[in-house]
Amino acid sequence: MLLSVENVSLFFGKRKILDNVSLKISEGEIVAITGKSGSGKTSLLGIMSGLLDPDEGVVYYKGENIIKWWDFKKSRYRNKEIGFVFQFFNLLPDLSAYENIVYPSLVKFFPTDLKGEVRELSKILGIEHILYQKPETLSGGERQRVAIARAIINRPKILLADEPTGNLDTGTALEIKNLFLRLRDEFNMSLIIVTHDEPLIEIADRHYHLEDGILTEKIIKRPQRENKTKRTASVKKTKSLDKKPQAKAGSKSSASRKTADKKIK
Amino acid sequence: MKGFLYKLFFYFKHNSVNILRSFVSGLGILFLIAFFVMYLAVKSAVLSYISGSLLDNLASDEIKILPKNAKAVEYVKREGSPGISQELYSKIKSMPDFKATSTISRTPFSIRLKGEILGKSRSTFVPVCGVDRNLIKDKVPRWQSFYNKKPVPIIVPKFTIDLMNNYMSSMENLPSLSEKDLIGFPVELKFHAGKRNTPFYKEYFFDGEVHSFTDLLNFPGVIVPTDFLAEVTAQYRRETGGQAALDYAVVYARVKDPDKLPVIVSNLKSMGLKVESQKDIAEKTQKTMGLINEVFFAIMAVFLVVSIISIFNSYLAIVYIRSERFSLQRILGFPKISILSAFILESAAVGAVYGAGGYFIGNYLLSHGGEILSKWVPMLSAVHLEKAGADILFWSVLFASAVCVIAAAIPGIFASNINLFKAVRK
Repeated sequence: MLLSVENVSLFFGKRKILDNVSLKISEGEIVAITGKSGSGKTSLLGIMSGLLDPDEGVVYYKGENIIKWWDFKKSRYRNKEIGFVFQFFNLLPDLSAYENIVYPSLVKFFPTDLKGEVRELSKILGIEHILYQKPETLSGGERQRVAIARAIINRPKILLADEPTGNLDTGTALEIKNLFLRLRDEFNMSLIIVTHDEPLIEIADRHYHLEDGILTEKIIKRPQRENKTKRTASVKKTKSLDKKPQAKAGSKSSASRKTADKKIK
Repeated sequence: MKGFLYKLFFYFKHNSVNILRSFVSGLGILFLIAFFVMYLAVKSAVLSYISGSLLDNLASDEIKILPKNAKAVEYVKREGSPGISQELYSKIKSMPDFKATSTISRTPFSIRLKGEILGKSRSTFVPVCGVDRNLIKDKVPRWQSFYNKKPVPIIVPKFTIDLMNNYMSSMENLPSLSEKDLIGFPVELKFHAGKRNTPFYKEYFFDGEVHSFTDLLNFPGVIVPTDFLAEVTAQYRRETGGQAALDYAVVYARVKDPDKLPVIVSNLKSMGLKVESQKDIAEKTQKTMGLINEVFFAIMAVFLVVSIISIFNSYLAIVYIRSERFSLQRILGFPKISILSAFILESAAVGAVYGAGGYFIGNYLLSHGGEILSKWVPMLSAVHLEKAGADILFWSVLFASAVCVIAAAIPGIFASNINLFKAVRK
C-alpha cells in the first residue's frame, strides 16, 4: 500500500469537515473523488499531502505515519513524493514556463541541472515550443500542461489533482485525461483526482463521493469494451515514446473496483 | 554547481524588486550606523580631550584652586576679572598640607608678538599667560627646557598654526608651514608696561622662540614660563616704582594626605577660594558625556525605530503581495525554514551593506567634517575626531544586520506559516 488514510476526521471550529474517512491508494492506481463544493475534497487532499493535520486518524505513506513527521520531512515528502495540479494552474506569473517547471527542484541547496529532464518532459507533454513564454501568453490547456510538468519534475509517486479540468474546454480536458493515463502508465504514478468531470471519473480505478464529510465508494459506469480498448491504446502509445519501465497497475486497479456503493468508515 | 549557479541567478532575477524595496526601506540604518560611528569618535575625542587637558586632568591627590567668583579659568587679566593675588598664593604655598604647588599666572601688561618670515614681518597683540614647568611635565615635548632663559621659550596652541597658515597664504601669499618647521621660530616679545603717557609707562623687548605646540590649554594665546613673567614684573616695579603685580588664574596643589581633603577644602574656602577636586572634575566630565550620550542616543533611537518600522512594513507588504507564492512554495515542498531563511539572509545582506556604508559615511563625515569644523572654529581643532577602526566596521555590519534581521523576522515567520492550501485556491 502506497498511501493509506485511516479514520480521519477534521474540524474547522465546530464544523466537521471530514468524518471518519478511510482510503487506501496503491501504486499506479487512479482514484477519483467527487463531491459538492465545500464537502471537504480539498481538505482531504491537504491531509494526504501533509499540508493539514487531521484532528483524528492517521495517514500512512509507505507504512510511515506522516502526521508525526516534522515540517522538514513533510516538506521533503511533498517535494519528492507528491505532485500537485490545480484547477487554476497556479503558475507563478513572473516566471517563464521553464522556470515554473524547475521551481520545485530549487528547494535543494545544490539543485541538479534539469535542462535535459525538462526537455524530455516537455516533449511528452507537447510544450517544448512554449518553454520560455510567460503563463499569461499561454492557453488554458498549455498552462495546465506546464503545471503538470511542474508537478512531475521530481518524478513523484502520487499526483494530487484538484479539479484539473474544471477550467478547461471539453477538448483540452480530454487531452489532460489522456495525459493522466500516460503518466500512470509511463511513470507508474498513482493519481488522486478531485473532479466533477465524467471522462476523468471514467479513467479512475475507483470512484469515491464525499458528502457532509463522509466518503462513500461508487460504481464507475462505463461500457466494458471502451474501457479495455482505452487502456491498451494508451500503453502502446507510451512504448513508442519512452523506454522507461512500464506500468504494472492495470490488473491491480481492475481488481480493486467495487460493484456497489459502500460507506467507508 | 551548474544547478546552484542557476538557483542564484534565478533568485536575483526574481527577487531584485524585493531587494530594492528592502534597500529603500532600510535606508535609515545607513544614517544610524553613520551616527553610531560619529558618536564613538566624538565620545572618544571628548574623553581624550578632557583627560589630556591640563586644566581638567587631576590626580587623586590633586586639587584645583580658583578665585572665588571664577566661573571658568581666565588666562588674561582684565579689569575686574577675579584672580588669586601673590599674597594669597604665598599663603596657600605655605600651608603644611601641600607637598607641591604650580600655577597658571597672568601678567598685568599687554604684550605684542612680532615674527618675520621671508622678509615680511607681522606684529600683533596676543594674550599671554605663564605656567610652571612642573605643570607641563610629561605633557609637552621637551618640557625640561621650558624655564626662564634667553631666548624666552614660548608654547603656542596648535590651532594657531592653521590661523597663521591661512593668514600667510591668503594675505601674504607665503607657503604653509608645518609644526616641525615652526619649532625654534624666532619672535620678539614687546611688553607695554604701565599706563601710556604717564611716567610709569615703559616698554620691554625680549627675544623669544617657539618652544612647542600644544592643545593642553584651551587658550587663544601663548604660554611663557611664570618665572619670566615674574621677573619682568619685578624689573618694572624696580625701574619705575609703579604698582604692578602678577596674579594667578589657577593654582594646582598636591596634598600630602588625600584623607584630609575635606578639611583642606574647607580651609581654602574660608580663605575666599573656590576648590575643585578629581571628584568634581569627574562629575563635570560625566555631565558633558551625559549630554553627548543623550543627544546621540536620541538621534540614533529615532533612526533605529524608523528603520525597524520601515523594514518591517516593507517585508510585511512583500508577504501580502506574495502570499500566493509563499503558499505555493510550501505546497511544492519548500520547508518553513527555507522561506524564513530567505527573509533573514536577504535582510542580513541589506543590513551588512548598510552597516559597511554607514561606517564609511560616518568616517567620511568625521574626516571632512572635522577639518571644516576646525577651520570654522579653530579652537575646536584641539578636539581630534579620529576615524573608527576596522573593529568598528565589523560591529557596524553585525549591528546593522541584526537590526534588519529582527525587523524582517516577524514578516518572515508570517510568510513561512501562511495558510497553505487556501491561498492557492481562487
